[in-house]
Amino acid sequence: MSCNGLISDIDIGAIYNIPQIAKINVKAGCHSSVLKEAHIEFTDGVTFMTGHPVVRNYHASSPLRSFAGIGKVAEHKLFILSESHRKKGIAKALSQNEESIYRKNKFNEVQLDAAMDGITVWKKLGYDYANKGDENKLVAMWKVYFSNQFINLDAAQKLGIMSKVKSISDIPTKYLAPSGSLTFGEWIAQRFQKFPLIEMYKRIA
Amino acid sequence: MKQTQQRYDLRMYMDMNSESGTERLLVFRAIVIDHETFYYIKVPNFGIDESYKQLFLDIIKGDFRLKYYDLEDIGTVNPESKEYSITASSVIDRIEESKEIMSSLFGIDITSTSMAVNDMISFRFDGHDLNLKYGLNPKSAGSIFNIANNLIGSITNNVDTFGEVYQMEPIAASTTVPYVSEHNDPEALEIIKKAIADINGECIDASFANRQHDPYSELYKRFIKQLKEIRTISEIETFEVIINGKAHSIDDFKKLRRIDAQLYNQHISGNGIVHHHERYLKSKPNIYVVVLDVDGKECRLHLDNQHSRFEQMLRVLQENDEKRISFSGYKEGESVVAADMVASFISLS
Repeated sequence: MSCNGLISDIDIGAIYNIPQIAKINVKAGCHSSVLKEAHIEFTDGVTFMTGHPVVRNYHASSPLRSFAGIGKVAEHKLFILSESHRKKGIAKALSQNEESIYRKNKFNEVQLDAAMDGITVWKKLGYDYANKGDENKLVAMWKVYFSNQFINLDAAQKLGIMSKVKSISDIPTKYLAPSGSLTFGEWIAQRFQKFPLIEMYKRIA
Repeated sequence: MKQTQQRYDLRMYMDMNSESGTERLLVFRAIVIDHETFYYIKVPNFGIDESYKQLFLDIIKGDFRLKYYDLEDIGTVNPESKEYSITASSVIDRIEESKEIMSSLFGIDITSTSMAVNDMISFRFDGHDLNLKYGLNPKSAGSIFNIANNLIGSITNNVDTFGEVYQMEPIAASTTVPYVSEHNDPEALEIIKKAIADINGECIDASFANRQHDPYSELYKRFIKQLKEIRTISEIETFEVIINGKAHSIDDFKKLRRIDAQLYNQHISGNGIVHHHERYLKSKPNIYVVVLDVDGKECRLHLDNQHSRFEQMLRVLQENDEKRISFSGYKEGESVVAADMVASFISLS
């Protein structure tokens, strides 16, 4: 059975054609004619840039998250950059390549379950939360993080800042990923000892 | 006194840390009857916060879901996601079940206290277009809730015997706004019935209304004054105050126009220091206004230029600027007197 009509291995590899990446290795296979799974590893020339392979599932037909219906979906299963490769614009550059290559291959939507700092990083890269309720949960979690972590601010200052936050987009970056302290995502993992997953999507077509 | 069904006072608290220490803040509050019947109560600093409201709704409807990876699975290539959900069937059990995850992940301490409340009072606004079943235009809805809340305020600002008072969801197919309270005060409710009866009979009890240091007198006066606002709802045909299941209605709203005249129609006398002249009122060009300081409070003397002693009263006021004068006249408002006599003050001491 061939699933290469969904997206070719060459196109998958082309997504990772960015200056920061020196070498790419794509291993892809067909679960069926309507489902292709790819594992991608890449290095900066010296080290692997993720702790383990990036996993992608490409579905010919899958329920959409943007509205009720079925469409061609790129499911991003796992993507965790190693710490030394974060904050270098890699996720943004890959996201831009994904958009153009997925559009070329007529995908309707990219879906992912965000974890750790991804829950806020993907939002900045144009992804939306599948459920508004999930965003509200994140805002509630952030309020605890903010109350606990920024001890240099007094209660009145904190209340003033919190009163302006209605969505994740309203939170200034310095209160999500302060330098020298736990980021919001890291704090959640440490506190909860689990990684909450938030369903997100980005429309392509 | 009619007892209503059991309710739960659900509160969410969060700890806020700062250099000065830890402060426990109330971030959300709701009164819950069941998973479909509840109402929110605004809390200081947070109002009705959308993020906590979401958690509350998810908990009581049993819709709370959270996908997660376990820490140890994150190193595997294709980790399996798991889901946390609330499985209890009753609201109170769902609240109990959610406490641990609310604490660990959201830093929220949930308390839920059972409470019994009483039917306190309801206000019904009846008219052709005032019907919740067919939808209420936003302007009318706003007026109705505003007036209802101000009427309650006129009660609770003067007597605290009802304890905490909550507005319930309006009853559908009418515009009845019901209120429940922690305690009941039969005397206060009798005063409200008296107020309605006195308005209908056009015999407002001015001497009762103007008693000093009497909270029930103040309640009577404030409630009556607040009732004037009903005239701002153009579609209204009947207004009812429902106490212990019985309706007390006002159906002739023209009587509300004459409230001030009846409420203050007392002849009084006093003395005060002439503060300044405001000259003629724009709305009533025959009325000349002089402001006095009467024991530290403002009193506005209205002099009608049609009055036979107008010239004499005005001359005394002009000759006694910043001096004490005596006056008498009819009260027209809380601090307004229609003067019929003004004279230089003669101290007997």
